[in-house]
Amino acid sequence: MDAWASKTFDQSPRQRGGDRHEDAPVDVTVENVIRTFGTTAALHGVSLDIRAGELIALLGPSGSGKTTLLRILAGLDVPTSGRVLFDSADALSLTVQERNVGLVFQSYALFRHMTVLENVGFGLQVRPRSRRPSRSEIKRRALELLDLVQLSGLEKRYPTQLSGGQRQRVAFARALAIEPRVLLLDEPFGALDAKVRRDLRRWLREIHDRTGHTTVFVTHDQEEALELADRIVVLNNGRIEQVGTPDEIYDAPNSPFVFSFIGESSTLPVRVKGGKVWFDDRRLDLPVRDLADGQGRLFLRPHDVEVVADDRDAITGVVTAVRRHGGSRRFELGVGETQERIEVELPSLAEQTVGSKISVLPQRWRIYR
Amino acid sequence: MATVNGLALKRPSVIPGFGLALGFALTYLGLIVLIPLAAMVLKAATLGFAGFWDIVVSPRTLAALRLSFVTSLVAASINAIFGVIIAWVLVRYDFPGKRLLDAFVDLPFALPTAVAGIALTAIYAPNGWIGSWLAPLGIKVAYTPLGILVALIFIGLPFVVRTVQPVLEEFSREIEEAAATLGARRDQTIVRIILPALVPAILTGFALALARAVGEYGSVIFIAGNIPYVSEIAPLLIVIRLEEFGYAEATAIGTAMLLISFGLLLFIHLVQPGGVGDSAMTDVSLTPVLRPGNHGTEVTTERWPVRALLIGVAVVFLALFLLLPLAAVFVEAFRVGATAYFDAITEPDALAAVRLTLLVAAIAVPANLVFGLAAAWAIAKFEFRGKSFLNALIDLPFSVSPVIAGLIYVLLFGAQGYLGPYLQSHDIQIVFALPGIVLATIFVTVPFVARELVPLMQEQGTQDEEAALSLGASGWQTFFKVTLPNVRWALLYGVVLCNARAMGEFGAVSVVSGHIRGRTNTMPLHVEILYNEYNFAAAFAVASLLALLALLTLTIKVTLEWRYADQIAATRRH
Ligand SMILES: Nc1ncnc2c1ncn2[C@@H]1O[C@H](COP(=O)(O)OP(=O)(O)O)[C@@H](O)[C@H]1O
Ligand SMILES: [Mg+2]
Repeated sequence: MDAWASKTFDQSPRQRGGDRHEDAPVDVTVENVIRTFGTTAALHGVSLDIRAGELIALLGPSGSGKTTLLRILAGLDVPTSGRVLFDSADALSLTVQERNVGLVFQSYALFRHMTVLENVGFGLQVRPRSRRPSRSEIKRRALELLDLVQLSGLEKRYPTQLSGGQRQRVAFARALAIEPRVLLLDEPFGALDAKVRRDLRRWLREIHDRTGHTTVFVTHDQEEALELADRIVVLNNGRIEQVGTPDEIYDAPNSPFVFSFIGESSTLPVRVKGGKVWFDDRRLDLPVRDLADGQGRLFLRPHDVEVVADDRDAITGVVTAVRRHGGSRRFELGVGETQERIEVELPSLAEQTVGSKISVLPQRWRIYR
Repeated sequence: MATVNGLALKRPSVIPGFGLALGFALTYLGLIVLIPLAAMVLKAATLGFAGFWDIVVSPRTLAALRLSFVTSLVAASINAIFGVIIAWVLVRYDFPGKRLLDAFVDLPFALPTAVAGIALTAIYAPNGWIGSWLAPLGIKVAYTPLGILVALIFIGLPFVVRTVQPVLEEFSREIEEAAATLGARRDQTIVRIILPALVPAILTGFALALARAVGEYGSVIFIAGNIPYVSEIAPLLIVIRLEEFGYAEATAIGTAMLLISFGLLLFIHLVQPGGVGDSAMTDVSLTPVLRPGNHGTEVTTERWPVRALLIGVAVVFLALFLLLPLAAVFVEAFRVGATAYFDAITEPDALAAVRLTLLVAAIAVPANLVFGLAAAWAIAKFEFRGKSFLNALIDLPFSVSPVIAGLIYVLLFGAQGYLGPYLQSHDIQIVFALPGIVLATIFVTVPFVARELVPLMQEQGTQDEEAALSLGASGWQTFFKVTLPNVRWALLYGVVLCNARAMGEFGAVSVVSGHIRGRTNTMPLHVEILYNEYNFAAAFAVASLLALLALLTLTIKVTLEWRYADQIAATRRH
């Protein structure tokens, strides 16, 4: 990771304009940050290490505290307690202006009365005279950034004359223009339609690989996080549930919340006894090694199941509904005495229909208690 | 870093300037509005309750108070009925000249009250345009309480129209269609579905019109005849008492008026259906956006005879109360010829009045502009305790009679006033001089700019400022490069309205001016003097300049609304 980061860093445009050390991408350390609003806590003691140059996703449902954390990093909000470090220096003692972070707002917050070019150049224009580039230099850099975000030719337009995806990229260029030490994006693709979202995702990944900023982006879309991020931070109710690579998060979710939030899932009540898993009175053919005896919940994914002919060691149920799902078919089963509902995915050619009996065994699964 | 939210005055924020903005706004309001008003209440308190009561229930005072409040209630009720019809016609129907008529609805906001007063008198006097037709029928309008009613209808006309109009525009056609599919006849839909939805707006407009009418002075005194016990309104009685140096009486009447007005407003506020919120009363937008014809389907409009009748009523009402007085100003101004007209407006005293009027506006308007920006910055960009109180305080001058606005400065700075001896010993003259005129003008125009900026800036939120700050801009850079451009059209809008009122203010200025020709006479006061000297043509000539100012104001206002509707205020956007 470090090798990759420093390699890409060499190509950073900021190397041409700025020589200030503080423009280099930084490690960001969040230590036990608590933020309360009145009596409710939006963040309950969040700790996180973000590595220089990485593209990290804050993923969680609406209201889980993602924006709050991002605003604290940006210096727009102050934690009730806790620390934030950029490299090893205290960031909380820096004002917003001093913090030098590029923030892309969820609604872009483009300045309506300024052209695209003026928006992008704003951060340079407002620098103190001693650090302000010349007028022509500001223009040159803004145009260069517009080229980077593929908006050349639109520099004279006003924000209202742009499409959603174009505005998003202007906001992005504007944030890059200040040669930020950290780039923060709040739901960057939230307001765009599905096709544009997919294109911009790829585009963001490419830009990140070229510029090498430490980048934190917020999303509630797990697919986006899985596809785009080097690492994912799953937030729930103001707490971090899990931090890991997309593979770790998807294949080894460490809590029922992460399991059900990432990808689709079904769940069943089970018992563990003597290294065996029991559902109702059936012993399932699932190997459990080091699980202590007791009640638990089995989590499985619809597409990670296998139909078995022998129904003695499997989960057996009657089909209650069938739906088409892309190239396959989804079957809703009622299983066990209490008719628990689970979903399984089978090839579209499967001949079972409502009323048929199906026995399945999950191939990948987890038990939480 | 830890903050206890419950105890903090304000929620922490990275946006700078809270202390400066709030401090300035509160100091300004304190000095201009609160301390002077407190001086009046203090003065009233020195009378003792018995002394106060004796003055208030003396027959002449009681008659004046009764006349003021009864005529105001009647006028506001008439305005409520016709206001709803006019708003309905302007929103729902299309007819030639509709946009022009819509623009003219605001004429009473822009036309100085003294000009309105002499124009209405010219129309309704026994030898006037309409008066001469009514006289043979035995109907006397001018110089009777009926004349007062006419003046109060004129000045209160825009309020209900402008509060109802936006609600009606937002009203979903689908609801009316739903009612129709459920079997409601058109009249049932109107009475049971639409009108109830309009009630809060009607009440708000009614309350604003009432508050304005009770305190009205300029337009009434010309047409009223001012006969004690018959057609003498309370604000006039205050002025008469002041001229007789009856400060105690003036104070008692002023205080009684304030108390009754606040009581009435509070009552209306409390009976508002749909909960008691300060939003309904304070966040009133007086100007809706005109949008292209709102064509309904057959189900959601009236049959043509009803339409024609309603349009007819609205047009006749507006013509009678707005267009006719405006026309009267210009016709009367040129009655004795163009030469007399130009002599009247180029005569030295007239020129001095023009200069003074411009000077007063040049001081008062920028002062209120800075105040409006500071107050809006504090209110819109921060969460703090007492915010709704500050918001209400800004509107306070709207519900204080202009005459009282003048009175409080006399009580504070006049020879008999609290600071009188000190000022005299230092040879400082405030009342009956420029400073007093400026102060009184500022008082009555305090709310204008702030009222336009607060809702817009609230709607715009703090994102743009946060973006600018995170890009490295300082507080002042953020203000000048981001915030100010975002509100520039609303600011201009507020300034134009503020200026119209400042140049046209009559009651407040009249009390503090001293009426020294060529020295402390503003244009409206000069109009009054000429009129009282029976120099009608000259009075109307100077008045015509003020009427031109009103037309200019309306033109700028409408242009801003048409071109920059989306950038003026949230409530005006569609
Ligand atoms: N300024 C604020 N005042 C009060 N509560 C807030 C404020 N900002 C956020 N919250 C609360 O904090 C929680 C987290 O909000 P947020 O960080 O915006 O979530 P997300 O971005 O993940 O949707 C929510 O419950 C929200 O209501
Ligand atoms: Mg959010």
